[in-house]
Amino acid sequence: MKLIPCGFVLVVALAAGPAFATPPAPAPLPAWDQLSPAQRDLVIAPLRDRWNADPQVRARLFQHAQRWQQLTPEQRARMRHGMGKWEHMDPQQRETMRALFHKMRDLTPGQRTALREQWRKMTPEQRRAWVDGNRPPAD
Amino acid sequence: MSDYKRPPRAGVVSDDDFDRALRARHRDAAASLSPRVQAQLQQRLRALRMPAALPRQRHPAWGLALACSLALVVVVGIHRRATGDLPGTPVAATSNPDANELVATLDEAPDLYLWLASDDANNMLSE
Amino acid sequence: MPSANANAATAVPIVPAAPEGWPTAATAGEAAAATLEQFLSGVSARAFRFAELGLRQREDALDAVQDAMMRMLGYRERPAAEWTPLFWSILRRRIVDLQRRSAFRLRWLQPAPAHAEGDGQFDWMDDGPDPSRRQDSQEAYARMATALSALPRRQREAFSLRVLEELDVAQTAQAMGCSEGSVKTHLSRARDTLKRQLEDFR
Repeated sequence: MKLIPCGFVLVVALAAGPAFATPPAPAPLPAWDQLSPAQRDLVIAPLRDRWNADPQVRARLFQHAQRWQQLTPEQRARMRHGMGKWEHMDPQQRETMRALFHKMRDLTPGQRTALREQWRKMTPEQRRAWVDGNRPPAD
Repeated sequence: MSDYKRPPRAGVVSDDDFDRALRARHRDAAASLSPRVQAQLQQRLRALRMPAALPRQRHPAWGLALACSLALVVVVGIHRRATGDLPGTPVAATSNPDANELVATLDEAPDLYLWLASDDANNMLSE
Repeated sequence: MPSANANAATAVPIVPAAPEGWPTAATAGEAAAATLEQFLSGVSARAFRFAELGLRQREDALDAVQDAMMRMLGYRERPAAEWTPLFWSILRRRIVDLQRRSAFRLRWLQPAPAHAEGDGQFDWMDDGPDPSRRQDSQEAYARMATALSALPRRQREAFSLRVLEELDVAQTAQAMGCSEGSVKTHLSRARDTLKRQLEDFR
């Protein structure tokens, strides 16, 4: 299964440090449920770090994980697509999209249309000013 | 008010009447909780959404469910790498950013990513 | 910089009528979540009273209700029609668990937590619009609750669920984990006892 080996290699590379240039071909790894606890811990390690580093973010991470659980397979596929776009965005674009998203989710459909129209007419400077004035809460 | 056909003998009450009377007392009682208990119930209901705020956690299963949820989402992040959803990004060894991106799966609301996948977001980004 | 990369597809932007995948466009999952929380909110006071009858202790009753609500989150995808018997089934079992624990505590560790005297046994609001009426209500409930608490557990469960919570026979049987026939037996015995003890039920 292509899925786990790449991730496993990735994490092994992380663990070994930047000098590790050419990872050896790993033994084929099974599905998640067949991994040993030690292997799972290895894969989870970055998330575990993040979780432990900051108590304030935990509720948010957890809530996002719960929401993910609710998504249908089609929605999850769309979500992955959206994550692909996110990763190609620079920080300013991400800030912009976060601000727009958090603003729009509280609007009625009519208000969203109005905002879209307004947005289309704004200059880049006006858009930056709008984002500054509409920073989302820490979520 | 009563729905039985003949008046009851002294001391004999129909089941319906009896049930109705006790139901009424029960309804009163449910509406007469102390402020403290009412507040506790509301707080504990709200706390269901935010595990850090739970007054009590009894279940080891709770922690397990959490770990499974988070693990699943991270596996999704790994899967995206493996299936080449990120063109031009080989599995590189330098990869602190890679670790960040694995956990970035949870940083934002899933609905943000859902929206980004839509034409709507596309349009607003591109102008 | 990556502005051009970020969106591969757009030529002429067309604003769609409704943006795709908006969370507030009530995806099924979120609608279910909101309603489940509404369900739990609506049932919480009665759930507390049910737990209080079985546990006779405010903190334990709150804990039982909270545990049941937490477990119900796992069932949010089930049809809403199933929530009622499911919730009471879960709550009933939590109460039994807590009863066993408190019985153990009583026997081996320390005396039972002291109950307040008289009417203070069952939680009640301190002030209401009409003090004399409140006291009547409180006393009436205290008598009923004392009688219910004294019943054998299965009889109390059957009466509480079937009569006070108005579950139908099938739902009650599901919540109690027994047959419909058993529900009827427990219920009629409960009623006989309660009628004898609560002569002044009016």
